Amino acid sequence: MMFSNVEGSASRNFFYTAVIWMAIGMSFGLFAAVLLVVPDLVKNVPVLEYFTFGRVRPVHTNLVLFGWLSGAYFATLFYMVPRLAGTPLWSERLGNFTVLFYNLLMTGYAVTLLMGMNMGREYAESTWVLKILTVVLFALVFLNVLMTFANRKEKELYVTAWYMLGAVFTTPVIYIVGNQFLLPNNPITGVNDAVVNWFYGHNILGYWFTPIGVGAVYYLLPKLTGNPVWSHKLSMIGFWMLMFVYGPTGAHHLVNGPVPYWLQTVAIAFSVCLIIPVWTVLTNFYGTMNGRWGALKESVPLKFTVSAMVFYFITCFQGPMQSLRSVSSIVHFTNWVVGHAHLALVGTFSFIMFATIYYALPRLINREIWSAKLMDWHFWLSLIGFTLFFVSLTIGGLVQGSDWAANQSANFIASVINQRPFNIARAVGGAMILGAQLLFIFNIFKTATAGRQFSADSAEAGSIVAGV
Amino acid sequence: MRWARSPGTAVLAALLGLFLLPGQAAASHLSGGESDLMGIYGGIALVLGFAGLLGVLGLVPARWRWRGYRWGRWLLAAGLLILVAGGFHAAAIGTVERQVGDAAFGRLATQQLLGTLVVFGAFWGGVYFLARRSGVLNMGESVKYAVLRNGDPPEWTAFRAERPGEQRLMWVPFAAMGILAFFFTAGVLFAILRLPPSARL
Ligand code: HEM
Ligand code: HEM
Repeated sequence: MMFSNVEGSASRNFFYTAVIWMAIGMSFGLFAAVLLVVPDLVKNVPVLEYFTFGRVRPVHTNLVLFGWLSGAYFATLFYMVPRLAGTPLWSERLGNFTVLFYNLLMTGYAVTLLMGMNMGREYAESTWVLKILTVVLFALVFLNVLMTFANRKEKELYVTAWYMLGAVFTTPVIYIVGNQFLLPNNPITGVNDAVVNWFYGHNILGYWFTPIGVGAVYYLLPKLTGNPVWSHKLSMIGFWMLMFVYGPTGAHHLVNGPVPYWLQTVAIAFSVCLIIPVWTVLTNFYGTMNGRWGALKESVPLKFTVSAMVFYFITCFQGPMQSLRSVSSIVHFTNWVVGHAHLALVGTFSFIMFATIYYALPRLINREIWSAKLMDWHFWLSLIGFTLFFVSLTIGGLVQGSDWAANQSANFIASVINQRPFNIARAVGGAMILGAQLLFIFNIFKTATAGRQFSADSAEAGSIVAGV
Repeated sequence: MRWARSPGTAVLAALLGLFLLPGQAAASHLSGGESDLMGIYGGIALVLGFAGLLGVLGLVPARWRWRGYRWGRWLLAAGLLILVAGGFHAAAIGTVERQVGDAAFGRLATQQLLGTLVVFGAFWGGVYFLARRSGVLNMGESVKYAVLRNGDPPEWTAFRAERPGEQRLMWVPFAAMGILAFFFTAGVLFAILRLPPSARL
């Protein structure tokens, strides 16, 4: 048989290939960032001259969202769901087939987008054939997840399982409806088109990228600190609130636009409410960490998790603020929003996936992470690079918004020139982030090929090493 | 009476209040730089709601616990009421050309809003009903201990003895959040307050 049936192999293979797509996707991000500083960089350079900002940007966003983050999420589902259900993954063979399918699909995304085939809707740029295949990909993963839950030995569902099941049930609806039922010729037009696009664009964040990441944190925290999660009940409230409140917020991307006023107001009200599910996560985070903060000194996965919680807080502090009409009128269309997007997807959810990989990989392949020093480097370089990245975008966005408000169309080009220092700082921060990920990938490669044997009771062994 | 004490009653009471309260929420497809009343309503609702939630769940210091059980659900309901009624109010006074106002359009918009809420409420009501009937909502805190022993070995840091003074590390992320929140707010306020009077947004 072509596809492996070894337990854990599908999860491992998803992790391995997701980090490769991360490197490719981030390289396109860095390329886009450099183009914003030196727009004529590839002018008259054969072949590369076709890689304009307009093509490079969707390649970046699609590869980091679907190649990297979703790939790592599939791996996380395949790792955590069997452990929550107390039974092996339903079909490793199907899982490994899905890995292959996903890699081919991502290649298709990259090639078609670089060729300029673009449906013109954000996060839904790929052509309709690829969209249908994307639905097939998600369906195959979800089938495996649902069947594993159906066969479960553990009858009670831990909060992580709730978040993951919630994502599995809602994502297909959001993807299919939001992509206009996968038809080739978007039947919904005009303002309604925008509303539907942001129903999708926002909810894919709220019902796919958020719950799997938050679910992973709920799984990791007890494993890293030894404390059970502080309040399961509170976590359940957080889960149901998230599921309940996210739905009607899509129109906050269209505030002050020509969509019905009441729709904007509903979206704003629910956006403010979104703070509650976030606070439940943070309250539980602090409760669970209580008495175990010392572990932070020695655990890189915990460092990533704690940083992610800080970034999650600020993302969701900033979010409701920028959904208000007066704030939106300044920051909309500016770098501020790009900063917000990266705070959520890099600072929060990519960081959580780094922690997940450091935790899960040794258990999947029975090898210790090859170099603890490289792990530390990965963390600090990512953190410092990312701080430079989002601070420059955030301040840059405010400057940009103020410039536009002050002189409208009179001197637009001055506002572009004023962005230069911020764009340079962002590109430098981006290069540091990418550099950190290359160290990370090298460390994973060495772990797979030369890591020491991992043993289940390295827990106790570790405490001897640490001298406690 | 038992029903009078259930959180469901409090929420229903809030919803009933809502249907009686907003008579004239109109709406428009035009907009432009109106007030942010919604932020204020939302903020108040949020604080009340979250405090109520912690009260209902008994997640407050022991001294306050009985008050939490007793008043929590009403705080929650008040939060909800302020939020949705505030939404109606903000939409009503925010409407640009209410006087030009096409009453039919306003009515239509209000109906759409109520319709959305009804569909949404019905959907989640159904989910809640089914979840309750299947018993999954009663799954208790025991599962969180089960996860620690699910055969997936915890990291060694889980067994590490805490040393004196290490608890203080909790202030690092706390301070980071505080600093970020301060600068984000200050930055936005600075940008808004510095706008020249001639600015057209
Ligand atoms: C080396 C690291 C990265 C660099 C240099 C980078 C750079 C960029 C650039 C230049 C843009 C275009 C912004 C614009 O249109 O003005 C962008 C957009 C975006 N990137 Fe990245 N990026 C990086 C990592 C990531 C990662 C890891 C993710 C997600 C997991 C991500 C998600 C996004 C998203 C969602 C957008 C669209 C933002 C918006 O429209 O508001 N990026 N990025
Ligand atoms: C309390 C929670 C949040 C609220 C209220 C919120 C609100 C908003 C608003 C109002 C915008 C539009 C800004 C504009 O264009 O003017 C926005 C953009 C964005 N948000 Fe959030 N956000 C929240 C959390 C998140 C999370 C958790 C994620 C990621 C999983 C996320 C990802 C994004 C992205 C990628 C964009 C850029 C979309 C674009 O391309 O224009 N946000 N958010």
